[in-house]
Amino acid sequence: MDKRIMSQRRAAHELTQPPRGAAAGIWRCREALLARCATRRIRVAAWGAVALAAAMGLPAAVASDGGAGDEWTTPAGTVQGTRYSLLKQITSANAASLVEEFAAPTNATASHQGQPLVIGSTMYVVAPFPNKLIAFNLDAPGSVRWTYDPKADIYARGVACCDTVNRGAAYGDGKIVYNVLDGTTVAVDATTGKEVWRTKLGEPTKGETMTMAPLIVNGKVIVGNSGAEMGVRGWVQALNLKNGKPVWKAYNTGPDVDVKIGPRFHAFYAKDRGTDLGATSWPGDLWKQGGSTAWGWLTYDPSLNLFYHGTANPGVWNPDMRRGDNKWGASVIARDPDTGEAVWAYQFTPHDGWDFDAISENIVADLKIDGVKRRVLVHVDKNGFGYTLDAATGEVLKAEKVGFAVTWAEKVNMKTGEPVVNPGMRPHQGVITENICPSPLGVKEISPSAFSPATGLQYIPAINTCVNFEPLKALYIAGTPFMGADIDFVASPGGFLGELVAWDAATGQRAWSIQEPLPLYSGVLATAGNLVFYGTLDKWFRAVDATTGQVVFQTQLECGITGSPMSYTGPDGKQRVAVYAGVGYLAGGFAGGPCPAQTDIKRGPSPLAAAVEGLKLNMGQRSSATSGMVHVFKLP
Amino acid sequence: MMALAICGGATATAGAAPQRELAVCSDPANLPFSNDRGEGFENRIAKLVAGELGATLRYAWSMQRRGFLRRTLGTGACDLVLGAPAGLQGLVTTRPYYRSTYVFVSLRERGLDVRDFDDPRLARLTIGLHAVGAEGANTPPAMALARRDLGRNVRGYAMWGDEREVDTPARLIDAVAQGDVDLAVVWGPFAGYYAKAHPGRLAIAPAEPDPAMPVMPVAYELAMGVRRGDEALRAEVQAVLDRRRTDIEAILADYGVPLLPLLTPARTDAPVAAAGAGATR
Repeated sequence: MDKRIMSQRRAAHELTQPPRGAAAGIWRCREALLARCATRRIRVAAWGAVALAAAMGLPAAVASDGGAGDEWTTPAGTVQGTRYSLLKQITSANAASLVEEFAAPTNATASHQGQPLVIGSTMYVVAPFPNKLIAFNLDAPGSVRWTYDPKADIYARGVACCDTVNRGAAYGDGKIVYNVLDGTTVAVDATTGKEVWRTKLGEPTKGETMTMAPLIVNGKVIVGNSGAEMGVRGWVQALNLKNGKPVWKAYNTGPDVDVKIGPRFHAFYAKDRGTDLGATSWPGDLWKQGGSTAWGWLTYDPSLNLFYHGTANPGVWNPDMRRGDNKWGASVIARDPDTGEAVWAYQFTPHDGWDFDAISENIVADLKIDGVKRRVLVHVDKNGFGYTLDAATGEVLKAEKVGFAVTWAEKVNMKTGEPVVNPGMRPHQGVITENICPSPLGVKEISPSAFSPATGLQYIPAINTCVNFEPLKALYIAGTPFMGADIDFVASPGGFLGELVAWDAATGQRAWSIQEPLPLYSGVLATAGNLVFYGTLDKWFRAVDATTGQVVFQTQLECGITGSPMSYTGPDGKQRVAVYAGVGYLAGGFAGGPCPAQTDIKRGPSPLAAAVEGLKLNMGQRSSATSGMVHVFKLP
Repeated sequence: MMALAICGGATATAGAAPQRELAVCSDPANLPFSNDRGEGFENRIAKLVAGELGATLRYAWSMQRRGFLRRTLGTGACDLVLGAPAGLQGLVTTRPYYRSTYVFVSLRERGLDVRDFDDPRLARLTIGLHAVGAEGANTPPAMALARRDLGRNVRGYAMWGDEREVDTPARLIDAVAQGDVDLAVVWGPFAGYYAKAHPGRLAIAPAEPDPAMPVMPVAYELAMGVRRGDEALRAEVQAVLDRRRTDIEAILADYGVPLLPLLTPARTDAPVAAAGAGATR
């Protein structure tokens, strides 16, 4: 049977399953759409959904469980985090003819992570600091309807940990909602560009920033903080979408009452069960500087009414200070979005000593595992393992090495859920440890993967580096000198620093991969046109066949790509694919420095950067770009 | 950057030539080192250096955390870092202008007089530390206590507070004075300065290095730093530091900085590059 028809039917099948707990009114609306989804072109069905929803007084932006439609209203296109577009005008067969429709400047430099939103005929772009929101008019491509300036506190610029990035906005109730680096969440009227509300949650002077993209579910905006390594304590909070007022706040370390672990909580594994583990798995009260921030992607399962967030490493204290599992760092927590109550949690890396933040997305999907259809979370962790978990309970169904080289652990014990750490692979200050893979960059960093319900594969932007911990070097923070390990990033065996990996999370195996000379720092988009889009640090924007991995389109942009591609339907009814270009500071010095270039000041290259320079990549001319850009492609 | 003849001492030239500017990289809120009101000892020393160079002083402010050098010196926003431990990578330093040490701080009336990390009394005391770390490393006292399984005795104190709070590092010293912790082990300059708020009540004693970790010293030498390649400015600043050594020591004493004798001999001709305790490259 024709593969495309099969995938359409699968999408329709997903739509026929009633979401448990969904409001009756919305369910009736969805039921009415089903017949159309199964037999009509998806674009028509999506517009029909908009019209029907509008008639019923519901929000017009309805993304089906199958994927994003004509619009892109949430960071990952769907609340499940799939980064899958139902649009299929652009296909493996015609992608070679893609042309750039327009490129527009963001008037900001630094890494352009995140992705635009498209609602109606407007594209919304949140730029890196100072975090202006630009509304592009898609009726006149390249032109700007308005720009909103949140007047971000300039002070925050000096305190961001890694780069002045922003990972994007979410749309709900007529508002574009996003986080500003100075710890403020803002909501802007999507039509007029006027601020509707702002709420200050983070304290950048404390080292706490907010770079993540919010998730909007059930009339609430859910956000998390950054700054684990600054001594900050991680939390997630919900704000009322209408007025920005705080609804609930849950910490990620500390006693159960703070973490909102209560009668509804049940961890699948014994290692994650007990009272007040967020405090007792630490010596004394070191959990107060316990990091475990939620600076990554949030996802949601409407049928379970659970949202999922990962947590960062366990904070500022080194592992020898904080004996114990250090919960709930390096974990995934499933919470009720209405109350923040934790329903289950699983700690991927107990007592993390490798910087294995667990903030990668937990994509909600349906997979057939060993013959049984399961509602799962698909998560590739920094620690090198690809996990498939039961979305309702946190049971680990699969945990296999995704990374090309993973040496810190042999495997995950499927009975206990614990990683089996290899001897000698725990770093200690002053002790030389070599060849720990993956490095603190992880097998995958914040760049999000995509999941295609059509192919059943997860497409992962992977990083292939190891680390040597060498003799100590002087460090200096806030006027305080101390000694730390000289961390040396090295390429792992294989010689390539990045990979696009197509991963079968149902079996825990690779389907195919594309080796890249540099680490992949872009997100991934999968489409119903059987395509996968991603970008590279050496400035390539590529489309590959989702089944075979064959490259069917590529073009080199003016700067490297750290954003995530997305897709939408323009006012003329034609499909577009958009992506940001712009690279700021990246650990390891990849890509020959920031682009647009911020400075010509010479610094000694890290060993890895020196190795990268020796790769003789076609990086093109040194870019004269002065701003990050959003690039939009379409068929001619 | 201007090309300059290296003289014994630069003097201001009046009249036609544009005023020289000395752009320094500094933390806007980190007493006793510096703040944006010029109240720190690094601010006073910077003024002294600028005066000797015949330059006006201009600051580029950035919180002194991960990425500080990249955001300041690295972008060209400023040319001189006022305090950097000898051996810090990413810049070229002068010879050190002071050496200080981590210290134990306690209430005099308790008579504790703890000096080293093997003191058996530590197991029964609450020990306050500044919560400072990077890349899996913490301060020497934290590392020493961790090795002795004394993490449970530690109370962490933030280095940074919200916007309205001033002098957050003082909280740790105040905590000793108030009896919230039995002891603090803290980088010397913080203790010497913030103890002034509790005159006569606090005992400050240099910590002994941890014999189990010889590569992790408790005493550090601090220098000034410039970008690699900016030899002209480094040499000029070095000349000022040498010539005005007594005045600089007086400023440091004014702030109560616990001082140890410098290891690096004064007045050699070779510039000090990236060499220092523990580094092998």
